[in-house]
Amino acid sequence: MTGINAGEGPDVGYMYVEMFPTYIDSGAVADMADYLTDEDYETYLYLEKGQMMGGQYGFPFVTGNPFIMYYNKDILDSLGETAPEIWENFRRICEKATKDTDGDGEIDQYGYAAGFNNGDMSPLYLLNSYYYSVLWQSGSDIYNDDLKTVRFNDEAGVEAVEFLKSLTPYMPKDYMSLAATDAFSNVFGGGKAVFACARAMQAQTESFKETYPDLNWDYVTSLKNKQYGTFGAADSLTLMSACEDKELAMKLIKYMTGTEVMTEYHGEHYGAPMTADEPYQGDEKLERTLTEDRDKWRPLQAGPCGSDILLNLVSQLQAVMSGDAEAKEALDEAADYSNDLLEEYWADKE
Amino acid sequence: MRKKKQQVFAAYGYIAPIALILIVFLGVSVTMSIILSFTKYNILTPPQFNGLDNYTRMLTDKKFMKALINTLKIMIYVVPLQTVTAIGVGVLIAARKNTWLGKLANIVIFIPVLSSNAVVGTIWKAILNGHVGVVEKIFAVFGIDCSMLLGDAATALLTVAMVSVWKNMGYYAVLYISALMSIPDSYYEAAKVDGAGRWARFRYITLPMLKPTTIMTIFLGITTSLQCFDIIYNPPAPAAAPR
Repeated sequence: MTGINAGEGPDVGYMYVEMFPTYIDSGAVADMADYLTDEDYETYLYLEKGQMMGGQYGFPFVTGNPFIMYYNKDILDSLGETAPEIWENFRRICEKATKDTDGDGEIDQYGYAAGFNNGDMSPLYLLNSYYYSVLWQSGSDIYNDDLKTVRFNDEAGVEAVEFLKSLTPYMPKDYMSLAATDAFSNVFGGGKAVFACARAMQAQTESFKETYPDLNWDYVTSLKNKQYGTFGAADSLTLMSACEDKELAMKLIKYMTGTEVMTEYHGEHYGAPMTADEPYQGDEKLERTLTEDRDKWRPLQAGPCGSDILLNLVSQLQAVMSGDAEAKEALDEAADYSNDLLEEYWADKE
Repeated sequence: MRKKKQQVFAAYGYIAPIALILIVFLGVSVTMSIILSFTKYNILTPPQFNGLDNYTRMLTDKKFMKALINTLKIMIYVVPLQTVTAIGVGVLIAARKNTWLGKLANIVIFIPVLSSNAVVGTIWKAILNGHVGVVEKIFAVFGIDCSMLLGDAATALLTVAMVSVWKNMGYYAVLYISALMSIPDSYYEAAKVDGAGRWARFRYITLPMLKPTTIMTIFLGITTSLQCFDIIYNPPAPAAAPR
């Protein structure tokens, strides 16, 4: 930001969705629509995920890695269950799975390996992991369509948080101090839970092969309540407004995200194919997240005051999960805060 | 007269470099911060003057008031405990200052002081949440489940305060050791002759003589505890940014 303000910013930037609104509002990023052809929209598989706030401001670069619901096949089989699709089946299996397996009086197997301490990650990681999926599956979202108010405290939004809260008896007892990443790696990875939510990263499946070679896992891309939905980031390259040669910068962006470069890059570091010609090089097990289940995940809505709204929301979510607040009360408080910010934002615009 | 003027100029000359640094890096930045606090500014666009709006918003923001109350609570937990612990440790080490144990202790208590707050916060988070068998057993002796301490609203603040005391106590203990060593032995000898026991000597000689150090410890403890942020909040590495 300081570099851009000083006129020494980059020509091409890298941003995730929460960052965009500030830069779009200040005119720091350019709309790339004029530099894209119909052929580009056919070639680059995720281009539409870079459309936000009335323009093509992002050119997705790191995407295709949605948060999926992993499950332990052995535990599921021992319970006589199959992979759930709807919420009620998920909750029922969680309840059935949560028990003392070694007879010492302490629960040592859990339904859902979740941790609401963000650990080394940003607090927004908790929303990525646990919240957006239930919110969208309920049929709600962060903003209303006009982006002038939030809607996460509507009936569907409250239902989503109450569902999440109802799962706490099936989580490890220290779920409020357990890091989300540790819950996945150590509790689920250690075979102590039937479900856990994390990104569909090959790195994780590779680390399971090394650390927990006996873990027999599979996944569902998304559960369903009223609809499917889970979070998949779309970190994007951006064209900065101050760039003097935008044509050249766009050539660079297209080259970096093109088949040749991405094939080589993804050979070293897993990622979803960016173009129609790029071969899939990842774990075969995870491929269906990019094919038949591709419509079950999406990135965030980009909206004004995004970071402030979401950081406030995550603290309210933690208050609900720790039992310090009721879902409706916490979400209404978060909505009041968010709507005040949005009101001020739109008033300045006028 | 001329010589006095020369001395005055020399004095100003000696303090000029540090004064310049303080003016540039402290004075100018504080002044700019005060000016910017009356504007709407996001770095990308020029600042726009908006009067007292920022202050009004801050004082009516529930989250700010809650944060302020939490910070004051940490101060109330930290300062007395830190001061008392530092006096106790200082007295123990000063009494053994000539032994190898006393010298070793003098070094060991200062090690946490040298660590950064962010590192201390991260390490203690890992210790308390890491299901380390030895740590869990030690806490279990006192009936505490250490993995719940940071996740429970009732104990989280106190736990953070204890970590802060652990980190900074050594600094104040060293101050107390230095102050204790400057108390003349003759005071204690006279008191012994008059029949004063150990506790009486501590109460009527040691504590009053440590008063200036205690005032400084309390003052520094208040300012340090009010700045308690990085021990709690550890920002993620860029690679771990939300995706």
